[in-house]
Amino acid sequence: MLRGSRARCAVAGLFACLVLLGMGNAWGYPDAAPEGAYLDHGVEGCLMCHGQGSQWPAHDILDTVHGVRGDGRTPFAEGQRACEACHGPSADHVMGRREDGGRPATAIGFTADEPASLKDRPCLDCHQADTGHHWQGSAHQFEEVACTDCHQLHTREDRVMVRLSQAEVCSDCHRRTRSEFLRPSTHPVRSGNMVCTDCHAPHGSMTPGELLRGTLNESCYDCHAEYRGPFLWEHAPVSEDCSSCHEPHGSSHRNLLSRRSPWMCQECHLAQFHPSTVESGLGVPPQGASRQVLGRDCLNCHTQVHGSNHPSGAGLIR
Amino acid sequence: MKRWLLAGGFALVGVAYGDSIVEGEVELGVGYLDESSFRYGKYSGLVDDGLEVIANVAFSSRPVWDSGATRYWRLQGERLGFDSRRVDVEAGDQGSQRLRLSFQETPRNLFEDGQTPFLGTGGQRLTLPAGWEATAASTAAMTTLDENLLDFSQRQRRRDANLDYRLHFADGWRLDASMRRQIRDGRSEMAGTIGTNGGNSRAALLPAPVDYETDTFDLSVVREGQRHLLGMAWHGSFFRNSDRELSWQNPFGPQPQWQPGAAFPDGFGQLALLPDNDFQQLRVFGQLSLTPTTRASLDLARGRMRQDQRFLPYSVDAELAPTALPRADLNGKVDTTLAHLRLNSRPLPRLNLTGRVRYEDRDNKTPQDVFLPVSGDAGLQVAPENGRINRPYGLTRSEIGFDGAYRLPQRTRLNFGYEHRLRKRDFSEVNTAREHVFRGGLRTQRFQAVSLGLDASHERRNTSRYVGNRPLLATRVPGSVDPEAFENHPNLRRYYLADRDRDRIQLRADVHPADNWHLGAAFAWSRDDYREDLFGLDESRLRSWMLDAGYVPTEKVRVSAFYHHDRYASSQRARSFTAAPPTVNDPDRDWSVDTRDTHETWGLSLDLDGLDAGFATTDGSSRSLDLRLDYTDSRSRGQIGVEAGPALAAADLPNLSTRFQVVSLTATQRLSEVARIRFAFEHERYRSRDFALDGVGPASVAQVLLFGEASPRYRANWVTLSYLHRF
Repeated sequence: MLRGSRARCAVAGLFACLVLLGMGNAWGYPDAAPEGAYLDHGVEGCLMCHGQGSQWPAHDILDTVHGVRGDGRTPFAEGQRACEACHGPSADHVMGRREDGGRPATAIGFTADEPASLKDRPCLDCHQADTGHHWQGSAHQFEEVACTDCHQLHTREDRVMVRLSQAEVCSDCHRRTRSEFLRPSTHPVRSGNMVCTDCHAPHGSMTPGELLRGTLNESCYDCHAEYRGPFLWEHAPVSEDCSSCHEPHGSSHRNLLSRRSPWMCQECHLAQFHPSTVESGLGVPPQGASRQVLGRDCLNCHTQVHGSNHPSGAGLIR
Repeated sequence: MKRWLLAGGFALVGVAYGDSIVEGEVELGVGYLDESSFRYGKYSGLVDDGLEVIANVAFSSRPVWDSGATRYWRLQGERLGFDSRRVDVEAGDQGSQRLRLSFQETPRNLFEDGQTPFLGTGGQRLTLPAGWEATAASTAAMTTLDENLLDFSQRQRRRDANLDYRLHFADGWRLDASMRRQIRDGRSEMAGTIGTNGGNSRAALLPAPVDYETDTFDLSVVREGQRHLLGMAWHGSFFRNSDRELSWQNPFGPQPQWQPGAAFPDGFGQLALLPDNDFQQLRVFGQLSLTPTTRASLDLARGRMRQDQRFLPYSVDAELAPTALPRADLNGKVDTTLAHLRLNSRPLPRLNLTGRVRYEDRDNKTPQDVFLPVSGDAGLQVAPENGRINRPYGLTRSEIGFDGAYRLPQRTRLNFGYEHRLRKRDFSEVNTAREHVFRGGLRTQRFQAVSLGLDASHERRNTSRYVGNRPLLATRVPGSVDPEAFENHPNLRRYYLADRDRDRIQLRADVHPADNWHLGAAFAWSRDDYREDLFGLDESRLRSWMLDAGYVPTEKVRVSAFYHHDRYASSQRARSFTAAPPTVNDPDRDWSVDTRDTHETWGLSLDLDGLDAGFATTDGSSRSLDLRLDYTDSRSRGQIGVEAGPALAAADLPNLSTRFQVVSLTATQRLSEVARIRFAFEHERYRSRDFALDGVGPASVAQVLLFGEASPRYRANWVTLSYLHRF
């Protein structure tokens, strides 16, 4: 697949080093396990201070999927450690006192100061299969976005799991994307008909952009299968990469086009006569009426821009 | 199908489980839209002025946490009174299995003020009304156009039904199965062209039918162990279009270069609509913990796209095409291969490394043939030596790279990475393109209450020799064209194939001057420089900056604001030329275009939660009030500047502009522990100017019959009052 050049050799070498570094793991450095003694008093002890009406309520977790004792995998099931299953050994937190009179924190407090890898550990202990397959090395993991930065466990409704509020959670960090969805041409995210996870896999995927399908085009075909083809007469950049012409989140040009046509088309089509004609204000009323500028510009004729299956459609007009 | 889904959903809801807590909330009310607006309801379906029903429901049953029960169900219905309704039903036995059903409708309204003379909208054959007159091949010669124009609105509806099932079986095994059916119907637009070349062709925008069905299936089995995960998945997607072709009566009068009978009234044209196709993919994937800090994940997928819809004839007029097609259908086949390997490791306490290899292949096995087209249903079939050969594009992408993050002291992190990309294409001007990508970044929270981030990257794309006429030669019968012949100007470099340098810088600063204050600023800059000083896209640039602020004076009050400014600029160069050699090399015929798209968005948001109204309800709870106020203003402006050489004439274009403003207020008053009342008001205003639409009627262009719709502009006020009851 990759042959030749020194650059490739260098990358391959680096990659080999990485493998060796990782695998020669007499000196691997996992996060140290949280230290301290477990109380193992179940949830009741914690709810004495974290119950309903308290200053730090946490009881709502019992109304969520994590609070189902009958499911042996949950923290509150028989034989599990309840709150300590995620927060780690907490005897000091309950029994101890700091010099200033306050309580020491739990082993894992899910605070901003703790590294994401420490906070993610209890989540991944259970969720490796359904969310963790691509997590390691994913964009969010690499940026040290912790599970709890997006997910709320002590509320009945985790906002990122609710379709109507998910985009708000994502746009807390992806602020530019929030603005893009306010442009004239967008996917229907603002109206709630689509959500970020209809296209993206926030826990990582094998696709650049963390898309749900294996390639960008396969992801688009999930809802736009009509453009998949193959067609008799293909338009090369279309079958290669939808983003050659389209912006996924928002654009001021129709149909999410990156730039205004006909000039965008002329960036690649500069044949004799009309494709190379200079199109300008002289083609706009009152100075003129160019068929390459008004209406659908190039698409006034070349309507099959995604490909044509007509035997006479080589010019994408059939 | 919708009824079936709803019935299934309610059947599930009806199942009663012991040891469960059943709760729910119903919102019922009425909404009023003060002015009909097709575009206000673009995706909501709220189009007509007047009253609408507000109906949202959410019910669920969950086990009492310590009962030992595990069964649950949920039902949620959103916007039930609208055309954009959604229903979700889920039932399951937690830890064992679950079933999800969902149904959603999504309208898509594009414009309603179009006009067309064609009869038969929605069908596959469009005809002109009796009394249609066209004395010449020009819209001006359509003497009865005005009296025959009919309203045309472009509206589509997507209905989406999903069924997902998950089963945990045996120890560590999981089965996932999902089915999805999407139905899309309504009207789209196409252009019908009749003519033998760009000079004499005449076109009409046509109302085209949309009757699509796509069935998607996903099935996967996963085995999870202590240190490994293995899985296998099948994906199938099957697209069906109920309409195969669209034919239309030529509304234009005679044109001397057309064959007799091509003009009105006898002339017809025919288009092929999007063909049925399918795609199936088999995937195996896995993950292995090689050591406590090293994980490898691998994905392998093989797929095949197929398309074998029967071809239409070369021309709707059989007399124009005496030679038969070389084959009855395309027998199109594209085999896809994906391989993705990723290794993630932390070899040192402060070092996180990720390496990845990705291989993607689109092997197009569609057979090639010589086709003898008829130009625009108006010319004679081309001679065999002038036939056109289809090009089954193939593409191979491979990437190898790594990213590293090293934690420096004082809460600072250094990011670095490199990637090598290789693309190989068939039938393309460029066979091979290589890219080297270098990335670096810094994150620091060294300073109290301040976090800073910096990212920079440089990409360099080098391509093999650009052979501009390779696609032309590949589509022509060997020996039929001069090897030096060209279609596009020899100096054109298509941007996605050209040598390019891409540089990006991003800065981000977040400041927390106090616990309840947040200020943020971000700046992004990127530049694509197409290094060869030739024709095509020369340069494109993005400059973006953003400010945002948040203030939480009390637990019950949140205020936030943001401002975002993006400017995209690009410049392209070209030469206007004809077949005669002097024009090809004439620099006086050069032209250039500079475009600048500017987007400005700002917004304010105020949340007031649980405001005490000062008196208690009958059940003793506080009659609190939640308020949310949002304002958003988004503007875009497009400027296109054209310069032309002395042999050409050009003028700048009018600016393109849009402005979108939304004010929304939601007030929810708690009446008792179980009852609330909600008032919501939304004012939305949209204005746009587009020189391609404004003031352009159906007959404004001599060679094209347009719809004549204006660029969208609306103002709408939407008020709702609803009662929410919690059970």
